[in-house]
Amino acid sequence: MSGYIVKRLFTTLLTLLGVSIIVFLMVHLIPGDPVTYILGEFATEEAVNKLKSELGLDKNLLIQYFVFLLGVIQGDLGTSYITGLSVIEEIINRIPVTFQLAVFSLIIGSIVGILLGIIAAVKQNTIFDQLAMLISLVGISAPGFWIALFLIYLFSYLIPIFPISGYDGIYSLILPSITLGLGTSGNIARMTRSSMLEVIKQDYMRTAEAKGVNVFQLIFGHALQNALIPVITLIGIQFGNLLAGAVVTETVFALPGIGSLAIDAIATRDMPTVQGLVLFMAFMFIVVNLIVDIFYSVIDPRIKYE
Amino acid sequence: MTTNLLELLEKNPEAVDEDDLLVVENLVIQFAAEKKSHVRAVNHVNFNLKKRETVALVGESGCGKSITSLSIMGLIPKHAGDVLGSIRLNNKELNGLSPKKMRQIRGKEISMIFQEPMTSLNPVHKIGKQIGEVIRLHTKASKEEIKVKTIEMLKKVEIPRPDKIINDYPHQLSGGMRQRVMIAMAMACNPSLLIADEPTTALDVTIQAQILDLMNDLKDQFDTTILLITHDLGVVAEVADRVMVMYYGQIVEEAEVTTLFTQPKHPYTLGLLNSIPNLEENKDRLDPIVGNVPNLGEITEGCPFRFRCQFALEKCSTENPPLFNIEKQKVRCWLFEEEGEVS
Amino acid sequence: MSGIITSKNIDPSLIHLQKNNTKSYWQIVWGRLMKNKGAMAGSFILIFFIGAALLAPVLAPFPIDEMKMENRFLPPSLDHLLGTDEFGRDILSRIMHGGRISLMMGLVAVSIAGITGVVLGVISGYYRRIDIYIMQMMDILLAFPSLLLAIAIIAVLGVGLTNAMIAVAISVIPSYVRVVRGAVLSIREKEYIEAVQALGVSDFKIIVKHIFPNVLSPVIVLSTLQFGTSILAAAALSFLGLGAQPPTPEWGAMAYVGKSFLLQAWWMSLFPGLAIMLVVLGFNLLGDGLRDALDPRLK
Repeated sequence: MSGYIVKRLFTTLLTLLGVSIIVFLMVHLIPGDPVTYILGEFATEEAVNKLKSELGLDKNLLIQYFVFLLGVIQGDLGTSYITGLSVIEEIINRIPVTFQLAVFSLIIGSIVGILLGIIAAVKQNTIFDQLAMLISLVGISAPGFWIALFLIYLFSYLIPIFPISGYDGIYSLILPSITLGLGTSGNIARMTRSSMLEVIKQDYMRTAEAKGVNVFQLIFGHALQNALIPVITLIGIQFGNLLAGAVVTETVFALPGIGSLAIDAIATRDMPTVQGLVLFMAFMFIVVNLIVDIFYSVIDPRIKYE
Repeated sequence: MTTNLLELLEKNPEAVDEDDLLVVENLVIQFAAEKKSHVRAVNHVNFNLKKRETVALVGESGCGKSITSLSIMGLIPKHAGDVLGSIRLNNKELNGLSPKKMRQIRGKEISMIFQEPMTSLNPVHKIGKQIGEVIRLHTKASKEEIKVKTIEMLKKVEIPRPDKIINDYPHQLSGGMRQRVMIAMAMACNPSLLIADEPTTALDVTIQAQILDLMNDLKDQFDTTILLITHDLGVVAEVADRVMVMYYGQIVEEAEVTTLFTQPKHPYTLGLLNSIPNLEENKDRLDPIVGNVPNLGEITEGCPFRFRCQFALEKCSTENPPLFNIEKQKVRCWLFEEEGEVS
Repeated sequence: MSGIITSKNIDPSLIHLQKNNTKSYWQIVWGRLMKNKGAMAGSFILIFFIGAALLAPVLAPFPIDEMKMENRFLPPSLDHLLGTDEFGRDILSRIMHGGRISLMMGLVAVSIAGITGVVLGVISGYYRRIDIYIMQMMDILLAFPSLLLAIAIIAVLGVGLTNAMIAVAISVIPSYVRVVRGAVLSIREKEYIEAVQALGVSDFKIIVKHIFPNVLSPVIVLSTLQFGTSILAAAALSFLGLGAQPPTPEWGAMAYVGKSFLLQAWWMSLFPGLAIMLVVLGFNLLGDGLRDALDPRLK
């Protein structure tokens, strides 16, 4: 088991390294150089050279990368061109909102999705099944911003029970979480359904029936834990989509999270912030998937990590 | 109905045999087919199991033997097929019981073990939990009592270190061990009837013998009746008292085990016996019966075995033979029309 | 597989069988697809929207850029079925024309991603030595949530319609590589491939004649589903102001503008969004139907 974790950590590190190279190159591939951007086109050559050496841009690319990497390892993601603040501090200021949003949406998405999936599987080929699958397909097909605008119109304007935008405590996160959660639930429902249908066919379900187990225990006691194994991986992957989806949702609801930070940074061509955010989100995504993989061993005793 | 039966009992105690545990009468199991027609997987089957008896139900796959066992368990869903006729356990009618009442019988009065021990246990639950569940469902035992009982059952099925095994998951056990766990689970509530559906087919030969011995031992200890579903006549010879041979949804021959092996009557039984490999005769090849079991619904009249039968008469293609009684043996074949009498 | 296959052992009918099977196979698939209600509903939606987009210049009731200040923010009515926007332009006409852009964005993104992904996937599955490098690269790309990857690419390439299409395409490539590679790997193990290899047929011919036909059905299913996903991603980018720019009548961009007027003219953002949802739903329904028809076991 620990051998597996070590191996998994190692491949994760390799991926992270690759991610850091791509994110580093991102800034250096960009047309127009940051010095001109910061100082403007009419800066003196002296000033340009001074800034270049301050930013380390006069060194070769490899050295620049290692300087960048060393910084990242120490938690230094650079300084914003625009605000002059350190990027990591900006992220730390803004992450609580995004984190709460992601967790709430994941909870909503998982509960709704798993329930829809169970209903569809248990009532396979009935109207309930078809309805549940249509709902999940609509959830997958609807643009996040559309659900968001729809909910705002409905619950902030027609029936004004939620704030239209801005962040004022957890209350402001309810509509955004529903927005993101609904999108997530579709995929989870479909996966739960097919996984449940697979499990229901298994021999051990017949054994449980032969024991005199009732339908409720059959589904929740015997089938669900087996059926959820593949669903858990999906939930891990969905977490990544939630981070990206948060960009849209935070923009619509004007929430001060890292998603809206990213859009502001792109609008102002604040490359260090963009770079730092992309790196940070990819890092979160990788770490969450690592945790999911390890969590697997808890839910599925058959997996032996060697 | 009940009062009639009671009256009948008082007047004529022989009418209901005290020794009968399970009586199956006129069992018909049919499934909806295309164009609103039905196909019969089981066609007017009658048999009874006496207490403490081991009876084998033998036939090739598709002959209806597993379906019969599932109908006794009440495990054929209503929307899948109709179960007609009577299935009585200790004089209590099971066919038509409510799902709730049937659940109280399954696992407690009738238990079942299956062919695939590798996949018949839930992979995510510990062994102790799986055995304990059946005790929890059917008794009022406390957690502690359940644990004690579980360990006791594991000892009974000769599993070493049962106090450790209860914390293991199925994948940590071998196939033979898992089948022992299945038996422990089936016997935990001391059922009066154990249905064993091909219990040894998936196991190694050496393990097969051990499991059969174990089943025999437990049967004596628990006073259980066993209905053994199998296609393996070797297994039958080892454990059964009586044998019923099934073909195309009908019982075609029924006899004491020694009678069946020494004086088989139905051509189908003869064929089955000939297909057993025999070390002494050292035959070059086995004699499997030519052809396959016909598909359900394919044959509408005559004897369903006639296509594979080397003794088929003209009559066989028009009329399905009834069961003829010849002493204690029953055979469904026109060849014995003279010898036997219609039961 | 043990032992060496010599050309003697090869039954030539085996190889030809493939071809004959393919024809009846596609007929069977077609039959199954026609029976699939979801797929038929999906096709109907798509035909409707594609037709509306193609015929927009003829059918659209108003020119897309006709501004009439007196017509500003008109709610849906018989004159303007879906209402008008802040310049008095007809939303329905703009949605019909915008369909050309949105569908085109999906088509271009899927084509770029599909071609690149299939080539990389076939190479990865067939030439095992290169496999590890390609897959490592894909793993790195997959480490970015796909919309985030697209946003990052736009940060580099700059805002705009073309760049949004490229960004979406790149973010879709890994899913193609994975699917195609998996399919190639499973076919590679088949005996008949070993047989034709032993006959000395060139790799290129094997790939084109034997591997590619077998990769085709998963690619068709994936492309249908990705078509929808790509439209969705492209619209999200435009909605964030990173893709198509107003006054282009792209659906995401229309919703972006409409967002500011949500409370006074909900139709400005909700109808373009509804159009996106329906088209994506159409592709998803059709994709699911195709998958069930091509591989009924998965149902």
